[in-house]
Amino acid sequence: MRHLLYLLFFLILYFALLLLSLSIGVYRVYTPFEAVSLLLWGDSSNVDRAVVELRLWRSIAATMVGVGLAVSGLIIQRLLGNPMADPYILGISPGAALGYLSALAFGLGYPVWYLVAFLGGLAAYATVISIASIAGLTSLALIVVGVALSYALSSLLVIAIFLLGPQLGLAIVWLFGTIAYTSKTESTLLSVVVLVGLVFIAVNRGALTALLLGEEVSKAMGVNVEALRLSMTATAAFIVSLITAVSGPVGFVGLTAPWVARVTVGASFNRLLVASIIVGAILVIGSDIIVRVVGGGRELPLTAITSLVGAPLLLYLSVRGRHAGRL
Amino acid sequence: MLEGFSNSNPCDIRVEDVTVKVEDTIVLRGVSFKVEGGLTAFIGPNGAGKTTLLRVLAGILDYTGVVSLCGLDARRARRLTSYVPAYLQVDPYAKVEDVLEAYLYDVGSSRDPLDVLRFFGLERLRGRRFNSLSGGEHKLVLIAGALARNPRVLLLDEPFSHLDIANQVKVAKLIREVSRGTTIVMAVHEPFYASIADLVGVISSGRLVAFGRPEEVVKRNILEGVYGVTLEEVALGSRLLVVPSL
Repeated sequence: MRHLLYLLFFLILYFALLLLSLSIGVYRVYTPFEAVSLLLWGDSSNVDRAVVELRLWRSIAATMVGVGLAVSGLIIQRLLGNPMADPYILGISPGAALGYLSALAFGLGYPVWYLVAFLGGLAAYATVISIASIAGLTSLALIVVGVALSYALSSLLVIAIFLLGPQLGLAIVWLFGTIAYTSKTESTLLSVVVLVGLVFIAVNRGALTALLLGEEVSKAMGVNVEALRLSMTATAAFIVSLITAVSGPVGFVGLTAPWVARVTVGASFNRLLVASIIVGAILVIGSDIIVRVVGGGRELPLTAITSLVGAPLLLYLSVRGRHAGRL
Repeated sequence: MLEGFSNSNPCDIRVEDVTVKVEDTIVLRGVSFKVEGGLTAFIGPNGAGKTTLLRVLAGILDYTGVVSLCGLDARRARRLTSYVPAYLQVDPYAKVEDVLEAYLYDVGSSRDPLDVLRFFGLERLRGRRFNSLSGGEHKLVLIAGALARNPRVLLLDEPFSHLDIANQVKVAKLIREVSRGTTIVMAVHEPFYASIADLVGVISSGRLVAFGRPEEVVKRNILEGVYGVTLEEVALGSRLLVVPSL
């Protein structure tokens, strides 16, 4: 019952933020009622309607970025049996960043740079999986290889940034994360990929439920842990690479959302999945509103805000009196 | 008594010349035995290979030789077996119901974790964090979860460790009851609990050094040879108990 109340509260909070996200922006602030009326009944040639529609696509992008990162974080934490794992542990973020910077350096334009960034993320993931599988694709191998590769790629990234010429400004905007420029096309693509990923995850929810008992007991109950680890990390890598290509690296959501979910609804996978979806959406759509509000006419980088909101939340949850001793 | 939580169709286990190598160390060497239902206990020093044997039977460890459960290769028989490790650490936020739900992952909605708690008289543990349970409660929840899967073979690693006498009695009675319809293999440390089994195997340094009925195997000379300590036999009615000589 308490779980349902939490979920209801999260849902109400999400829809309140969605309304706010449609209403608030640098161009003009509407009342939520105005924004919804413009969207439903506004003339398509009306500038105000066009503005609200842009904000709608942006809100959908924010929601999908949040949902995608949160569920990827959740399944990676479950697959690796490590609550501190994050979807970026698979090397995807620096891989995508290197791809994006290479595209800029070679003068490739929109939307090819997104494609190269996406492929960069997937390539980093494929490298991590290939190397880790030599050690039997254990969770420790995945973490160690992922962390090592991320550091190596980040060094290359620093060199690439250093060598990048006039394109540096564009690169910085992307590297700090933003969904300010997501159009209908990108939001739709994100939605399709995240929703298909969710279906994949939902299909495997039984095995992911069993994995609470750890690798050995799950295996003994007939779960093919290696196959699950491969298919589910691939799903997460696909989602996160696309999100990163479109929005740049958005930090802390993949780590924080499953934590908030765990603290509020416990460790049952089905409940965690639903709660992570809503909390992830709340974190990113909420941060995207803050990005628009506090910059004083300029938009702040998204990842600065998600981390600024996510880190204290994570600190609070992890040291909260009655849980601290049991971690 | 255990309607719905016990099979009436135990199955045979056949193990022939099984060897397990972990990295370069042989941890189980040429083990062979056969059981036809009932309760089988394995006893032996720490590190002798008891848990390894259970993991082989659970189909989660590579081996050479033949392991057949209910006529199937161990890896194919996984869905017919339930394995209870000696200890299990889970997500710190997991509740007792979440652990049971995980055991029931492929049973679907046909069985509710709360019914399992009720059946085993563990309702008071509802809503408790699994990692904060006492050793005895921890063990009872795991055994309840494993039994709720209605396995044809139940594999128990040290089911009596960390239990007070009352819980030992409770678990021993449950195991005896379940073993009428489900094949049970357990690893134990106490000679007394080995002797409640139908068959007992003694494992030492990866070898099965004795296998037979408890009165033939749970004997002072055999166990003294294996453990390297002095033991005594104490008469309890018509039975002989083996206890440490202090």
